[in-house]
Amino acid sequence: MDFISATFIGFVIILSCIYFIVPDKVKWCVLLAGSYIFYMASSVKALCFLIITTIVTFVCGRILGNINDGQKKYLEEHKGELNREQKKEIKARTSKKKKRIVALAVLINLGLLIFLKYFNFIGGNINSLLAHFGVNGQVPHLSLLLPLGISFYTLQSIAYIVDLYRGKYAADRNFFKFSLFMSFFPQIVQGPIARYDHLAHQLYEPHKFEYNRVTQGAQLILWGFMKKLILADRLAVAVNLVFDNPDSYQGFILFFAAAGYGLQVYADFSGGMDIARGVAQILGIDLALNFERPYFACSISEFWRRWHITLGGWMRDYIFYPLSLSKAFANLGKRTRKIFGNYVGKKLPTFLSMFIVFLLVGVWHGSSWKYVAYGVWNGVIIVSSILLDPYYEKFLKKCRIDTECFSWKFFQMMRTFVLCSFGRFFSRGISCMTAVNMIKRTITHPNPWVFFDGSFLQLGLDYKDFYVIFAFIIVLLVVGIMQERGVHIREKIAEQNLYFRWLLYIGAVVIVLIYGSYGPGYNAGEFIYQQF
Amino acid sequence: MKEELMSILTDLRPDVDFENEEKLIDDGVLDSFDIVSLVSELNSEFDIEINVMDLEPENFNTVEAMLELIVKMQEE
Amino acid sequence: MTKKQGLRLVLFSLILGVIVCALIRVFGMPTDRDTALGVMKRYNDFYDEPENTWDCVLLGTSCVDRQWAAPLAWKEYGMAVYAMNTDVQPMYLTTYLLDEVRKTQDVSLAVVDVRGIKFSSLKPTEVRVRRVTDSMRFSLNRLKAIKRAMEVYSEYNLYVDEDEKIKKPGRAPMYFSFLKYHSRWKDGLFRDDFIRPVNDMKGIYGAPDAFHVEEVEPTEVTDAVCELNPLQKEVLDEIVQYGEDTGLELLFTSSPSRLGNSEQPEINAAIRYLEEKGAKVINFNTQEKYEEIGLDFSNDLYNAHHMNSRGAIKFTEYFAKYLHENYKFEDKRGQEEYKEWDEAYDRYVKFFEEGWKEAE
Repeated sequence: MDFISATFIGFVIILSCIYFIVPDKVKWCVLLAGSYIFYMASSVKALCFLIITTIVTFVCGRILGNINDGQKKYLEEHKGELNREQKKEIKARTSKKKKRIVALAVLINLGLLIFLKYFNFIGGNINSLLAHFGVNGQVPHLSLLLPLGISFYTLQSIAYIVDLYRGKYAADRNFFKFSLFMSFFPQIVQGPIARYDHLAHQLYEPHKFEYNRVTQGAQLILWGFMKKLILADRLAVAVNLVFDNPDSYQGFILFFAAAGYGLQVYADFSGGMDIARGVAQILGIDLALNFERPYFACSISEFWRRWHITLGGWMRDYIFYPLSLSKAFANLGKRTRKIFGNYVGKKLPTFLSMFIVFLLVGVWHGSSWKYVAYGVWNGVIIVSSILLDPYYEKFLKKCRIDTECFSWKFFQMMRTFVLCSFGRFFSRGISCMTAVNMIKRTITHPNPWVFFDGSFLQLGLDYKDFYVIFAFIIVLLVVGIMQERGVHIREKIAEQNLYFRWLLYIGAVVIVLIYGSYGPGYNAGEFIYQQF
Repeated sequence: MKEELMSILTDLRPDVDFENEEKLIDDGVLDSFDIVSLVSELNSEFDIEINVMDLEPENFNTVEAMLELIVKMQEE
Repeated sequence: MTKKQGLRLVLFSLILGVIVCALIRVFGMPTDRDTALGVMKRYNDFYDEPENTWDCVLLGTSCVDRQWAAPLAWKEYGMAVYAMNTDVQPMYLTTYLLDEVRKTQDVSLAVVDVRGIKFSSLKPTEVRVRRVTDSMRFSLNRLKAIKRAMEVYSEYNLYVDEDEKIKKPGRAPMYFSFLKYHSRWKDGLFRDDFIRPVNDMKGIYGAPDAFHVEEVEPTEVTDAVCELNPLQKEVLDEIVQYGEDTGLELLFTSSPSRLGNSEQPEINAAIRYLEEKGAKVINFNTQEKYEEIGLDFSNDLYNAHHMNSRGAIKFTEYFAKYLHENYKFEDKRGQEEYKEWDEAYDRYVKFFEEGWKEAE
């Protein structure tokens, strides 16, 4: 079931009505049933994978929880008798036990994800490697089905398991409630990747109908529809045309396509998030924020703190911190200090972890070398910007550049935008080589005349489409600037007169209905009398 | 102990007013790079072992919270 | 939720609903492209017609309203016989159209033209279907008609070569035409989209071609017959069956015009098939009928397949007389309810005279 569909809207309305009518005790059951119906509407077969992951995570979670409880009880019972060393020993012993459980859970859940998502990619690469040595196709190509949302719920389950290992909270005791946490429908398809301690209790608690909350949720959904239908799907027409025929274009057209793809993904993904959060808000549930105006970022690393925030947060807590603070990495840093000097040596563990994180982020997006390249691109920019930072500062001082004024900030934003856009060649290009080729031809064939000779109108969008795109980007900018200044738009709207509010809502619906890019499109030519 | 902590912090980020910031993490004043550097500095300076599981925002939002964390770690 | 909030929610939904409905109406099938052919007008007029005032309805392809001047038949005999054809009206939708008409008009006879049985006319192009389904008001019957049209897509493809197979349009945009037409904002909307035009000449729409003459070679009449394919037979069966099920009297016709040598065998086959089934059929494409009507191929047509208004007058005179003699429709001239028909006649006379004056 697609978010952008009448079916989904109907589904949400019916589900919400049932949710608010039934007694408090069974409200969470409505959400569980709804989530499974939603999942099955997309794919029944894939459901078993979700259930496997749910069972494995739940059971391992229970075992971890029991170990935690046992240790706690033992330590409390023998409070006076144990000295510091003994305590440490006990902890180390249980930690070893827990590690085995974590390894098991991660192995199964991550294994499923890797098998289903990456088997053919890995197999293909092994085959071509073997072919180099004269051995032919050893690893078969399997037609695997990729369960809906597996990349999201797998990360969610790992976070839960690791948090239990760390003793952050108690394990869930109700399998069905836990199934709801793993499958909650607004976020199963594309996130936000939830944390158990933030989301679970919200799902289990009953929420009453609250007029203001519901209207705010509905507004957020409408906003998401606007982003997706007016901007994302319209840009997609031109972006697809260029990326599907990369050899036919060069220079600014290619750059436009890459930048346009960035905008498209932003509008599409953040619009989807708005819909997910809006639906959850109607039901009284607060989902994590996933986007914070990424295009206002002044650097790539800031961009990644504003873009897909829950993925970044997950990577930080479960990959970056553990790696960079691990003993192995610390030792590595110590040893390399001698070779590269203090500054680099000190930072090396961080860099290495950061680099690994971006590789993983890249690969997480899909199973292809281009995503590896996408990760490398981001990693290299971030690491080099930190490495070069001291020199850069010196350079700025020498040139007497004021870094506090707006124009400098604006320059930084544009720089980030351009760097990001070049990265998009990798994530959208057909392959890694095509992407490199496209970047080359973007830089080596500047063609400013395309801004004047109507080339942009040959990309499947006419000038009226561009008007709509520009108009909506301006709306996005104004909204973004207001939000940056701490204005809560929907609260501001709520302060206005009823008439104005209704005018605004109805206007927004009408605009989406008319200017949205959906349906088969109307071609005036076909209605001219065709008799025979 | 506070002086030592403050000197580590100002070394790390000379541009931040640590005395008056209440939400160093929540407001994104310190990023994950800063945290990693900070933790490794603290670990070697105070001879403690701050673990990944202690990297919660509430432990690093203020200077006081960091001090508390260090004290707690030293006791363990 | 307080009572006030509930009331607000209901009121808001109502206002939104009204506005969305208005939007859907405005973004309908374009009127500017087809005004001359008057599809939208025809349906608007049809839905505006006073209930149960028609005696008979004519269905078929574009030839039907080109050759039928309803106001003349009214003037002559006081019969209300209304043409509800559209251009290349899909013959497989005939029964749904009859249902639609019979919702408001208790006609005692339906005249169905068989030219639409030609296999090329059964080709379910989207526009042909849409002319009918997008003009129909939202109802269960409309949904059924669309469903049937979608079925025909698959059936049609069974009988054509691989490269001639046609692609089924999306289901949702057929049912909810707004999905297609909302993008009309780009091509422009016109006054007629907001204020739907009506044109009261009882089924005659001022096509400029009505006053155009093209000299056409007379039909080389042949008795040749070809084999009908199962789809063609099925379509005819359905219509005959409809007549039997509902008790509605049906009369099949083959409209007079120039027919090519490849067209006649198909139409002849359909006529023979219908006659074998016991249906009543009049083939106007015989030498004898041409003479009875007085059809002059050098003067009465504006192209091979369509009559101009001169031809229409000749045919109407002939066919109205036939209907009058065979079906005994009540003469309703002078009745208060039928004043519109008198007005329509006056308009038609003016339209006819001015049209030819202008053309010459």
